[in-house]
Amino acid sequence: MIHETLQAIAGGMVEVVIDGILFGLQLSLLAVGLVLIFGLGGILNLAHGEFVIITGIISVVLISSGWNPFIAISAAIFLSGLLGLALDRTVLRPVYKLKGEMEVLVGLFVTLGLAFILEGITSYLFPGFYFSVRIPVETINIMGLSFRASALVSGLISFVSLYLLLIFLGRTMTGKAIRAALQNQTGSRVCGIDVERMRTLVFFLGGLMAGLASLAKGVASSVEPGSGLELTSYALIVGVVGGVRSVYGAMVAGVLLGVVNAIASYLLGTYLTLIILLGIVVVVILYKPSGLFAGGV
Amino acid sequence: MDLLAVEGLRAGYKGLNVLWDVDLNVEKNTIVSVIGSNGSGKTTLLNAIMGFVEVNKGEIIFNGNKITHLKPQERVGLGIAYVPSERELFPEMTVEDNLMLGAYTPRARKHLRESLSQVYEFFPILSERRNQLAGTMSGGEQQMLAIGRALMSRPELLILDELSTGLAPAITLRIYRKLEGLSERMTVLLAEQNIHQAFMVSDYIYVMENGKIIASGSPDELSESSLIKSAYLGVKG
Repeated sequence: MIHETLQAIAGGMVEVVIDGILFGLQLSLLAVGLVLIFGLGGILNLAHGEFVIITGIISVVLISSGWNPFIAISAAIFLSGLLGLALDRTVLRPVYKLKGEMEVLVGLFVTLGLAFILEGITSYLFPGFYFSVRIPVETINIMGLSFRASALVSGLISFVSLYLLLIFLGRTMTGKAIRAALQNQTGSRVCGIDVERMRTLVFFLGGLMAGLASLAKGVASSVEPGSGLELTSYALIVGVVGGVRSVYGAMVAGVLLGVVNAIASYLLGTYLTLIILLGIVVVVILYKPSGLFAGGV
Repeated sequence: MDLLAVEGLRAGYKGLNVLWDVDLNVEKNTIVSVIGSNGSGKTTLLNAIMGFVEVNKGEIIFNGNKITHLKPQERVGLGIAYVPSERELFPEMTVEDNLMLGAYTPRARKHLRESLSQVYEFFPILSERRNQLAGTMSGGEQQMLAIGRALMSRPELLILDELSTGLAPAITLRIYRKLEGLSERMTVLLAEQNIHQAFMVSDYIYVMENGKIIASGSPDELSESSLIKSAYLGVKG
């Protein structure tokens, strides 16, 4: 009897941890865009979560207009990338002329202002609206363990997106040039790399990643107006823990925090979980301000 | 024929000139040095030629074309490579990735594999360390990597700033010996505080002081100059 109870608890914990990994992949996907933009643009984009919301809204609007859902969602993700590009080319242009702390501070307030404006517009124009992708199968059983199909598909979308990003950054010349520009802008210019163009590309990529995070979240649960700042907060937590200039750091930290989040929610409840996550951020800032995995761009 | 000509250049930072009416010519397939004490304006001159410093007056002409207002990356695209004194490597990338990025421009990318094997042949240590992170290498190895990365762009003009800074004399000498062989294939302009090494490798030398060129000539000519003898070579009278 005790043996069976322990086995059930262990089985339950394995499910919780795997659920945490799947959620963590979503967090990683959400955070990499933020980290890429901060690393090269020097701007902490507080409107990042709004990109997730806008992708969801555009997807639903296009699907409602009769578009094929796959094409509609793909177009919405691409438009999220273009939104990032527009942000770089328009409102942030004057910010880049500032230096050091001024650039960071003004960038914070510009993107925070933009986040409020976008949240206001989306909440006003689309009240009670949500973007959710239904998976026909409810649960999937693997080796005697039961998982939500939506969580698995969402995790798969996140994993493939992150993997493709890694391939792009690690294997292509443009990807290497982005990593180079993240590490050393003078060195990049000496190699003939146009750092400003790389920054614009990174904003596009950041928007694209936010768009993909919208799809992943829409599959796992739902995306609705008004939750953009909460999503940005999660991305920030992951970014700070992983290393706010490290793409690999964000990927690893996302999964790690996803697991912590799942175990803490399982054992202590959601309210205490958020406190634990913020506690981790404080401890990391105190003892390793550059982040746990800083260094590997 | 001059590959590079600097004419009446005034340049500096935030509107303040550091360089005053500098004239400099670099002939094709020669090694030209700019020497001078610390703070004489050598690095500012090289930075101005590369486009990292604001030019307030004068012209920089490369291969017959004015490049005064081009961005640094555009100058690299034309065939100028620069090794800054700080090296400016990508410390968290491998040696090979650093080298490959040296061939980023379209004109260099076409010959990437060929250039890579040439650089490995030139600096065999880089081939042995190709998978090592650049930031974990010694100062001398990093300097070789910085030069190797510059060579990857297949430059017509290679500009080197303070090659000997922070390096053991034996390593600097080894690198200089390698550079001597390069002038058959390309033109080299270097700024150097180590006068003896500059005299050893150069075909022509400019002497800078307080942002101005105060003397120039071949090493033989300059070694006869009483100004150079007393100020730089430690010879009295």
